[in-house]
Amino acid sequence: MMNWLLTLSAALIFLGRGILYYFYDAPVRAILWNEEVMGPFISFFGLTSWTEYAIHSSTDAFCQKASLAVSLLFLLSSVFILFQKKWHSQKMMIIPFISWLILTVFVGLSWQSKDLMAAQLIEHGIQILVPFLWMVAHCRQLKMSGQALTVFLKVATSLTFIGHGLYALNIYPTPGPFIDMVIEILGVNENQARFILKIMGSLDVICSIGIWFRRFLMPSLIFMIPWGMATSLARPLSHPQVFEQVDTFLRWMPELIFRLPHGLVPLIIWYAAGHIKSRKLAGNKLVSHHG
Amino acid sequence: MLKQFILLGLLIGIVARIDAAPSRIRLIWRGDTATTATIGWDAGASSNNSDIVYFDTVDHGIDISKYRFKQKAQTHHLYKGMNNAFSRLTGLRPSTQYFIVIAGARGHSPRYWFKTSHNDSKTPMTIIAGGDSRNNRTPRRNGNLIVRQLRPDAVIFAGDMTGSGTNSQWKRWFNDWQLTIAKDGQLFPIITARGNHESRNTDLEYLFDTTPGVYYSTQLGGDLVNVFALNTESSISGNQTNWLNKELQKSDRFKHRMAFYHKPMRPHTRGKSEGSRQYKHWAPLFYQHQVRLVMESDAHTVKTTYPVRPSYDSGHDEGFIRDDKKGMVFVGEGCWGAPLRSNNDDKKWTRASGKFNQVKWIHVFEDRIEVRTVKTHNAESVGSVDKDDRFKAPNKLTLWRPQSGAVVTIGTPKPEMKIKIKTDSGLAHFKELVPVSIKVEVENPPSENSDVVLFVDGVEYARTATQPYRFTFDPKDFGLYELKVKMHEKASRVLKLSFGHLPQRSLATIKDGIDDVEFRRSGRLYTNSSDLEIVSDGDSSGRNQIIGVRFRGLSIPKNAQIINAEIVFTAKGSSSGIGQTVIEGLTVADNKIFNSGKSLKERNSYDETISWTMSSWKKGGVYSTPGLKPLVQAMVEDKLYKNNSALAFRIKGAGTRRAYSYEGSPAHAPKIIVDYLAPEEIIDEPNPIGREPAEDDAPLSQMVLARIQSSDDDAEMSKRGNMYFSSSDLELVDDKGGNGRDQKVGLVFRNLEIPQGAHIEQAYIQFTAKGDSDGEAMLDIHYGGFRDLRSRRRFLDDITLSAAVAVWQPGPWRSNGAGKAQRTSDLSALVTEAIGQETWPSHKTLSFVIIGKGLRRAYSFNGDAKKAPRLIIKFSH
Repeated sequence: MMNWLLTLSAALIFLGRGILYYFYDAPVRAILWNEEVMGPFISFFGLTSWTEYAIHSSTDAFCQKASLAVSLLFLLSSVFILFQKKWHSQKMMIIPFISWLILTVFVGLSWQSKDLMAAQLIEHGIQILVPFLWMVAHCRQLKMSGQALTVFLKVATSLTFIGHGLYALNIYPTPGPFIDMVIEILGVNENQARFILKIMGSLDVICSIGIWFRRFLMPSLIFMIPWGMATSLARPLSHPQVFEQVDTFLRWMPELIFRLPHGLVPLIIWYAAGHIKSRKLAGNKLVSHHG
Repeated sequence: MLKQFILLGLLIGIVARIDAAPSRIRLIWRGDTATTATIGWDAGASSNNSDIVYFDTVDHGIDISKYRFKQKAQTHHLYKGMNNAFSRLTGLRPSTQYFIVIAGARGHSPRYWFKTSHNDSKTPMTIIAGGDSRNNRTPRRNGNLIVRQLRPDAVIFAGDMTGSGTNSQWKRWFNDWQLTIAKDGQLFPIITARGNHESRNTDLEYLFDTTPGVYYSTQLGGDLVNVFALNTESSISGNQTNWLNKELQKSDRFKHRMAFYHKPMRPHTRGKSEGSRQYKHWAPLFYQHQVRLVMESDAHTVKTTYPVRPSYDSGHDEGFIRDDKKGMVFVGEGCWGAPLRSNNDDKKWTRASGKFNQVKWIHVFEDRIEVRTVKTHNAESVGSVDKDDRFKAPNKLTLWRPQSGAVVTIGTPKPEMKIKIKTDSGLAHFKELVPVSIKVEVENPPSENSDVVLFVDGVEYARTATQPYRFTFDPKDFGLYELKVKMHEKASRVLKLSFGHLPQRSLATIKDGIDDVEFRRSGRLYTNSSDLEIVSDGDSSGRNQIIGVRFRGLSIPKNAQIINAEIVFTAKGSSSGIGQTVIEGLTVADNKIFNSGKSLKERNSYDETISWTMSSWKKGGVYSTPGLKPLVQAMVEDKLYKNNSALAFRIKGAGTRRAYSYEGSPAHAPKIIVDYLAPEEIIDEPNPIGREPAEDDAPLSQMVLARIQSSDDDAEMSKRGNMYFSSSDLELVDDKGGNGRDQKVGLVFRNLEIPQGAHIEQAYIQFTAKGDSDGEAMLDIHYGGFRDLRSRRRFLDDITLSAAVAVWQPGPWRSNGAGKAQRTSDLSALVTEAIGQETWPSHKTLSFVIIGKGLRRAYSFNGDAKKAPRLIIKFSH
């Protein structure tokens, strides 16, 4: 079950983003339009000036193609992750690995564009670590104990929930869409929405710490599993026309998909905790490349 | 070595001082812009926050002790590597120029100035709007240069100033923003919104002194327009929309409401998601409260839309339906400098879209808003707007001209205000210095009590708000005066009045290859040849071709009296032999651009033609046609002629002379020179040419004017016999600093179209004074009899002065005077003698020699060709 949930989580991350980037821009421009990154290449190869490069039609066309390529790669990765067991191909592991590398770069650039705010980086804990952990767990050359995996999943969960919590608590500026989602779904005003977010943000942080203590593990997970799911669902739910307008559906359903692991990963930890407790298998492998 | 150390020390000192001086200046507007403004600057980390803004309505340069007002910074924010100081100035006067210097213990800024907004909604304004300057610095700086050149009342910037908001990026951004400052120190106020690349509201609050939520309104021009800055990066559903709703409800008094924010509701590029939050909460409010112009950014593409209303009714596209009466127009989206995205997501209601770096140039009038899209790629070559008419596109400004038109007009323009100005007498030309009563009529005035201001030669002369609008102009000297009346910024009218005899000159050079053409016998039209073979080209197909020249940009009034007109060619090569041509004037109805309408050969021309026997041409020489007065006169009297109509000519004949065409050298392209009297000016002239003969069938008086046309035609000769052709003045006749006393001055006037035996009624030479000169002067003017000064090394020594002489005792001259005092005594007798000679028809040239005592200093051709001596002859035949 835990293996299946981990596989599902990793696949959903790439599936959601793959669909999203098929219809909307992947953040490839954060690299290809970044003068600090691309400028030296352009100068080194003497291709053209940065200005010419930035406004040239070919650059935009390339960005669109790169976005599409990333989308297809992510979709392929999600399929591979789901069916890897059948394929038994370790060489093909390169596909999710490249996808994971690209995703990591995207997160890094997003972090840079958000003024290096810590919350922006750590909130992607699940998004980055889950595919990585899946690869480690399914790579024949690598060994990872169930206990170690649980620890890493807890790290991912804590980072993501603390990141969200810091935003919700307005320690880092609360993003407008956070507030608007609460207003739209609950029908409250902004001040009430901010208050609710502060409560939930506090719980995010408390539970992120709580999962590291045996006594508080289960109560924390009881909050995190539904709350992680709810925050994912909030994206489409805050847009009432999501099932009426194709654009809205295509924009927000993928957001739901790749955020579902925010509830699924605490669920994996729940299962792991139950598994360990009931069978006293601490130290045994929770998942192996044979499943 | 010691010197080097001292120099190094000085250099370090200077650098340190520069570093310490207030820098990265920004003028910020929000709220009431008629009485408040905020000055922001980087005070430097070690400034001790002691900087003070000194300001005054009078310019005291950098002498801060003379400034009457001062204001310390109320706020400092150590943010993004800068010490951002803000001094909020209040209690300012509307529509007033304020000069400012920011000074502290460690240095001072240059002197800047800004102008508060007026508070009269009748007076229009200009705004530049854009966003997304991001990290592509060259186009970003181009956009900034456009601000400087267009001198807007305000700049709207809808976020994403930098790529990732690092300290160095922001410093560079503010360094680049200094390019918006005009060369005379004028600052242009910025109104900002937050983009997604500003990660916190504090980016705007601490750098541009916005409200903490970065949503606010700014009132421009009193009740003219209320501009709403909105924040798409914060909550939209909550307090911001509540605030917007309340503000809009209070905004009915404004003629216009505009909004701007970063992320568009409906981006025009596919990769960007729809702005559903903005759409849901703002679009209905905008429509309900008639926010007619909405400026968006973010997508890095270009769009303008038709007016639309939010609706999912049948026929909608992405939730909008076209509504020309009450809809809102969206413009955008970014492109101040950011890399570009494809405009690949047009809607049914998209007016035009594109992909280039641009800003919007918005003209806000009481009754309408006009939006133009300015391409910024050539900003460095764009001229500056006329400060008195900032609505007129400056030279080389590149406007986007999609098929739907370059101008998006929002609102229904009221009938255009028109101003008429005329003298009570109907005359614009006066022989004597007399006060002139002037009447101004205004159609569709913006209000009944608006001021009409009279400027004379650019200086305010008088103003009145009392109807009927009347002024009295009292000239102090002979000459030409430009009277301009203005009511508000855009409505003005000019009247030129002249006192004394002052014909006017209009010149035009071919400015487009399509305006100088060769029409082959085969029927083929050559528009891009580098030369004009008049009229035979080398090969057989080009033999006896027809040359067409068409001049645009002249401003000869309809029914003007043409004194003289000629076309000047510059030889591209030497040529001789037969050169017999005929010049025809194309009728106004047939003077269209040569590659349209009838072929050049078939076009109608006026009956009269001018024969031109071309002399031998030397490469580089300048050759004029004979006088084309009859042709141009016919054109300006044509019922279809308008003041700015083109003048087109056709040249036929035999022979070959090679002249430069526009493509060969724009500087040497054919040129036309027309001297004329404006119709008003000739009203007080008896029987001007072109009018029907008087009932008693008295002969018509005509007038010719000739000006010295080259430095070869005015010369001074010293007593010792030295000739001077290059002097910038003509000393009549004592040149104490140069040739000494009693020099002799020779003048040659050419192309005088006076029939042999004509009756000379009046003739005189008109000088223009170069500097003051007075004292007793007694000058004798003789007819010279020669036609070329250059060929005479000692021209006065080998000629015989005419028996007839005109004695001239000029009064005192004042600098630049060109009236009666500078006019010779009557030369009719001399001219009569000259034109009575048998050889007159073959050369039509008059020369004069001036000798005598005393000094009057006049402009020569080299001093100023436009002020060179002129010969005016009135005759009848």
